[in-house]
Amino acid sequence: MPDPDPQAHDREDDVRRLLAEARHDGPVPVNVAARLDRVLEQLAAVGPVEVVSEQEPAEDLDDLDAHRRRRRARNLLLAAAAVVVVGVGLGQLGGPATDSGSDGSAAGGSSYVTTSDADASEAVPQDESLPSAENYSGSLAKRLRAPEPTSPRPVVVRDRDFASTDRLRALRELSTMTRSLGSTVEEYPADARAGDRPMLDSAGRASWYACKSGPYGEGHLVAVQYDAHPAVLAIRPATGDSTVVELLRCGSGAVLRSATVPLS
Amino acid sequence: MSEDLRTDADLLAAHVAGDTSAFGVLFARHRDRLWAVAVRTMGNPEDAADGLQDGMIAAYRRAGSFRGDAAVTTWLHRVVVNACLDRLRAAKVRRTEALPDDLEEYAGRGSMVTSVTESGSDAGDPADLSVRAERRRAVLAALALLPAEQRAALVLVDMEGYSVAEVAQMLDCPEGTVKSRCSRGRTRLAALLGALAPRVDEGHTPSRNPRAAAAVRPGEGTTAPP
Repeated sequence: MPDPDPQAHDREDDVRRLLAEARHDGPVPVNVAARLDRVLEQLAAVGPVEVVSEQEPAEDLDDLDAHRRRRRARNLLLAAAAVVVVGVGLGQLGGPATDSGSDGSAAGGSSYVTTSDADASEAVPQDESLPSAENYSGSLAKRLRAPEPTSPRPVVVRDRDFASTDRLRALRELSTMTRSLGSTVEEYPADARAGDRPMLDSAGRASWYACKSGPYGEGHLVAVQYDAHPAVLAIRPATGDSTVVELLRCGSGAVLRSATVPLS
Repeated sequence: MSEDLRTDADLLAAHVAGDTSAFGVLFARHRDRLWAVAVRTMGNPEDAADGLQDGMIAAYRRAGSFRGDAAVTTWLHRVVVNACLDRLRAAKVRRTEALPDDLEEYAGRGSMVTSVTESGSDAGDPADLSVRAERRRAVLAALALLPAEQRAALVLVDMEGYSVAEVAQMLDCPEGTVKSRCSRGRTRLAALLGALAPRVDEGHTPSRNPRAAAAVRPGEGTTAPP
């Protein structure tokens, strides 16, 4: 039987050839490979792999509460407790806000906290089986740090902030704002809620944020709130004409959201 | 550094068992092809990097749920493609790039289809290379105008050379759906690229779309590529 529409068939063949010709043959770029390697390192630092069902929306990282129900608390707490042990043993953790001069400006406010405070959101069980500081790798210990809140009100980050370039640029600018303005920084403008009262403890510190030092990686760290929980916004050092903005879980440093933001 | 000779399945199992380096070895082995899929699906390197990272994280965490009913590479592609599609849906942004301003200019250069199918053509001719580069750019721009699901299907079938059956596993949909998406996508591309791909001269028999090189996708039983 003759082809009812030979021209359409041939046209489809033409398109297939054009597509094959346009196949991407190059390797993954060096900066992308380095980024992936760094994330893998962070994932490995968290602990053993947890079996997650294919049916569970593992990428549905918006739902932190559901994530906590699924995760075995011991894995996260072990990692966090180990960080606390290292923090106490080493004294001052981390260092200046930026490891490698991101955005080219000197670090202003501190970006780390030492140990867990009394009002820490995640309690650490007293477990004698926890690894000691001596067992922790020196390189990992050096990268353990956490940001300090520079605003009396929560700096709220939402999923939609990662969905558009403009909002991502605004997130990136948070690093500049928090470094230079300190306590005068208002909560994230796009998420401002009228009537919010400053959340300060008796010492005048922002009580809305308590986050353990963790393997949050290079770049500037900003204390933020995500889904009503403390989180870390990491503005990575620029590579070429773009930079990576990552939203990390407190303690484990697990990547909750990430996006690449053009610098221009 | 000695080469890791474990199979993909062995590496994934080792990762689930607690080997902290196994997943990195596995992912690095297939990273270039996964990157290619991400780049063509997302339409630009920046979004591709984000999508690939999302997929890598998801695969890392979901490794324990891999049932072995498909090749590990198929499973990896599935996770990465789904991560990219999730990002596209969340952003609800259709990447658009301007098609060449003057499509007539390209039509005047002769049949680009015949230049693709002719063997031994002037591959080193600068003018020919320039035409190919422009044609490639136009194809990618047109591809970016397709719905994400059609784009992903065409990337996997026509660009990467996977079978319809494999792509159905990657996209977690029936084979008929893959065929339908490909057919609709090609039809739309044909309309968009009409000026770039005029019908070949009568009597010329076009060849079938070549499959991707076998070395790109090592079989399940093979070890690391040389």
